[in-house]
Amino acid sequence: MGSARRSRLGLGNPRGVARVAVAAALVAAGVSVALSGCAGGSRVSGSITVFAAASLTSTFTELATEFEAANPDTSVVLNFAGSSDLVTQITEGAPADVFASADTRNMAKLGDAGLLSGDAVNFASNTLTIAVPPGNPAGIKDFADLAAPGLKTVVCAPQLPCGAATVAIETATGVTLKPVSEESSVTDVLGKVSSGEADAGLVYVTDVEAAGESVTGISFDEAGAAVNTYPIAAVDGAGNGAGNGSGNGELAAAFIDFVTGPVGQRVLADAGFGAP
Amino acid sequence: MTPHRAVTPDRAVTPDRAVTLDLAAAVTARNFSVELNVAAGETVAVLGPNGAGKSTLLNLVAGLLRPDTGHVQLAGRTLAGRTLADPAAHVWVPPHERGVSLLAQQPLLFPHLSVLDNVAFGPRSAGKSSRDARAIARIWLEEVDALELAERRPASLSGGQAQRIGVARALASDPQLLLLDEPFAALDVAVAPALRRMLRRVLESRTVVVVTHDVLDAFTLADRVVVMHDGAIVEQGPTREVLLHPRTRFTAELAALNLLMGTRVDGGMSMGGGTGFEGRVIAAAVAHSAAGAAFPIGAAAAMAVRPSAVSVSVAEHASAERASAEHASADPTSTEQASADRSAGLNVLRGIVHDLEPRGDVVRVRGVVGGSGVVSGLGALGGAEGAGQALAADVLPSVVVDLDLSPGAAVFFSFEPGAATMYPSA
Amino acid sequence: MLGLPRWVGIVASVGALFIVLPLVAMITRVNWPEFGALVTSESSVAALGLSLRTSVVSTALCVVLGVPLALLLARTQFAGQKVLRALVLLPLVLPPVVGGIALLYTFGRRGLLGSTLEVLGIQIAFSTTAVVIAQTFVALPFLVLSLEGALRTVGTRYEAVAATLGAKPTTVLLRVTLPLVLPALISGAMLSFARALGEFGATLTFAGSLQGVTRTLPLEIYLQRETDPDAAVALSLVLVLVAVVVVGLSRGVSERRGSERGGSERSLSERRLSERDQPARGMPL
Repeated sequence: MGSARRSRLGLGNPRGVARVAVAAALVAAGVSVALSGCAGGSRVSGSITVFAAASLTSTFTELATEFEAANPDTSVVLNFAGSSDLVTQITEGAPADVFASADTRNMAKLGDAGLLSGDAVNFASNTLTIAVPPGNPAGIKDFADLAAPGLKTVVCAPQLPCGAATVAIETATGVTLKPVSEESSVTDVLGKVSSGEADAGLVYVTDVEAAGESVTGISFDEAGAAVNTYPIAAVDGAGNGAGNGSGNGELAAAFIDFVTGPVGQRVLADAGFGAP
Repeated sequence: MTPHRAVTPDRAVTPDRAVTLDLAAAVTARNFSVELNVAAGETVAVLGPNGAGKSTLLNLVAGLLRPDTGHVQLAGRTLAGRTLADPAAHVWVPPHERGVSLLAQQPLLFPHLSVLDNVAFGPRSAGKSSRDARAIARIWLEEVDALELAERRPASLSGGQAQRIGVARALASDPQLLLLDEPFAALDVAVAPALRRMLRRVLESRTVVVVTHDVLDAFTLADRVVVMHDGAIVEQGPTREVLLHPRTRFTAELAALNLLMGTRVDGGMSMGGGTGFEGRVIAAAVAHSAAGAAFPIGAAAAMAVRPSAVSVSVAEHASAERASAEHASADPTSTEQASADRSAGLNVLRGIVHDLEPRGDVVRVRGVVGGSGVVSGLGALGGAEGAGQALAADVLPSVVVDLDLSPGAAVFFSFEPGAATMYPSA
Repeated sequence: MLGLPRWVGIVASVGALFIVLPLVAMITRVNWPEFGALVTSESSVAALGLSLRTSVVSTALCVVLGVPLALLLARTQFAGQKVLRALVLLPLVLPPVVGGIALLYTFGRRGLLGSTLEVLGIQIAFSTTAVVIAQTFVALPFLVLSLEGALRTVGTRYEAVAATLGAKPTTVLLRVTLPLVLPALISGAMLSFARALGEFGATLTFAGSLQGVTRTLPLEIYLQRETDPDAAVALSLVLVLVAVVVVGLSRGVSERRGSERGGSERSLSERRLSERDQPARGMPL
């Protein structure tokens, strides 16, 4: 698969390459000035596959587009899923060059498996917020309100990063929630809230941002007790013996630098992510 | 198109018995229109070929089919159609409230119930306790000589055994009217006679309608027969009267008899339409109608003769060889040869072979006699007018070979007067 | 035996492997030393217990609702019957998530019936009832399909005989019709049970996921994958085993039905035999 992609991108029409190179220089002049890690001088090319947590879907799609614009001759293939699913896929030999996880725990799993080629870098953080149906029919104001008797609260199951964060906040605040459901994904929590089945749900700030009008977010002070950190790292294809990934370590490093750089940080901040 | 429809079915039941089933119903989609009465205690056999409407008749009585027009009444109760009391109301009594049991060609024993519980099904449905119902069932199993099968499952029974149980089950529900639909048709020829005898015994004095296309069933079981064709009754009357003296082609076919129609003349019957010699046949036995009505010269007459009593020849001398010394009066205007046969007392009819059908050890030669289609060499029937009449003869295969018979062959059919019975045809 | 082309056997083997191989692959991943502990953990036992309980109730509901439905489809004729049949079978082909969404808008808090039920003090969302509803929704067609076919095969002749013996319609139904189609009813119920046991999408969308209340075995497996793939594999194996037993029992019942059919088959051939003799007696001249 990887080789097919390489051959597609490596089509060596000299004139075409020359023309693209000119365009790239022009774009680089405007955009890449700020590229701190990746100095404008070292040009990269080829294709990489990035596995990213589902909560990064919109931000990474945007980042990939900008990265490709900034680095002509490159192509970024994206694959989104739950962090643990992605870890499973990579350990089973799926072709990945970069892994961006929604928590450090899943990144650690990949590291333990010896599938990382370098150290993981934290590039964003996310905090929980209360999602309520539009109009907030239950009149919720803060975290303690979620424990009110008769209130239907849905949370992520503790096995999920968002569920682990919920447990952390409960521990920190001493407020014990009695959720009516511990969902298997953030999407399911949002679904129950937006449909009005539940009065409130606990999800990430970025999830509420992405959900638009269908839910309303209510931030609360105790959210700081559980800050979820997003790490990113290059995947070592040789580690699992499957030879997965493109083997383009240079391009993988460039993409990671791009995400942790100013453009990446701006896009992430716009989506509601906090600083790492 | 169908002349037999002109025959108005008389609805008379066996004399001195009260009518219990009174049916006059039509089902348009099946071209069915029948009026039928059955007296209490009477067994009526409904005969007819496949598609004649026999099953439709049973379904109407059993309540498995609704008549488009008409009524069905049993023991004074309207089961379907309009009542006299309230002509506006349309009555429909569902099958389970009719008191009519149906025994079909297949016994259709419930496969999940034991033989005993199959027979007990009717009494149980009538509200009897399980114990009482089984006691009744045992009585009926005893009645059909099948008590030893009580604990068996239907799947382990032979066809004859299953049909016995079917009879017991139908009778155990104590029906006012029992309907039998071809009760022996699914059975081996070997077991049918025993079952027929058993049925004859248990049906004694019951009100029964039995549908069959086997005249043996009718002779064995029925007081009266009704012959159906194309959704209508074409003939009915006491069993022997109808089956021995058929008046329609359909009945004659069922009774396996040749039926010749004509006009009564002195000592016989003329098939030629007149009273002259042309087409005259002689019958030794003259039967009068059951009612004892007069049967004068010139009256419409019918003659029945068994195919096995008819022989076939290609030259008249072959028949002449069989001529006996006794002879009836001959018509001097006939040809000499014919005259010789006639004076010998043998009926000789010129005909054309239609087809040949092997039937076991004999071959049935079907032909047409009389009519303008028959070429006459000798003129014996040359003057006959109108359509020819069917006549069949059962002959030995060797005869077929010796005479080189094939369809289209011109032959003479002959039979002894003693083999024929003549009776009024209306 | 009549010979089949050799390639049929080869392709058939590929087809069989296609089904069997993933199961074998899963079994190879089972952490056998831990297996006992994994499947007897508190959450696993709770999920299995909930799954079995809800599937039993759903199957009972399928029988109660499905038998009359099958009778209506097989024994009557009315306008719109074909449309009704198509609609009843819809959950068979519908993605379960779609079923879940549809149920949400029906029994959910703001749903068609849910808002009325809420007034009456009945809350279905996030309750075990919701699980049963989701399972019944997806499992009902299996029972209706299997039973309707059997009713048509059996035909109405036995019922007609029972009626002429004086049995009321309810008696005919209970003592003749249902016993005749009992094997199909049982195998249909088992298939429904298996389908209910495996129900995931509609439950996830409609009922939620809470240990002991709405988190059935499939949901537990889905969740365990997040942190404990070994537990997920072990529970998957348990689910596979339960399904194998149920499908095996169902097959056993239908085969027994097949052998019972053999009895009537014999009487059918008897009939054919004698019908061949028939014309000799009633043959027209």
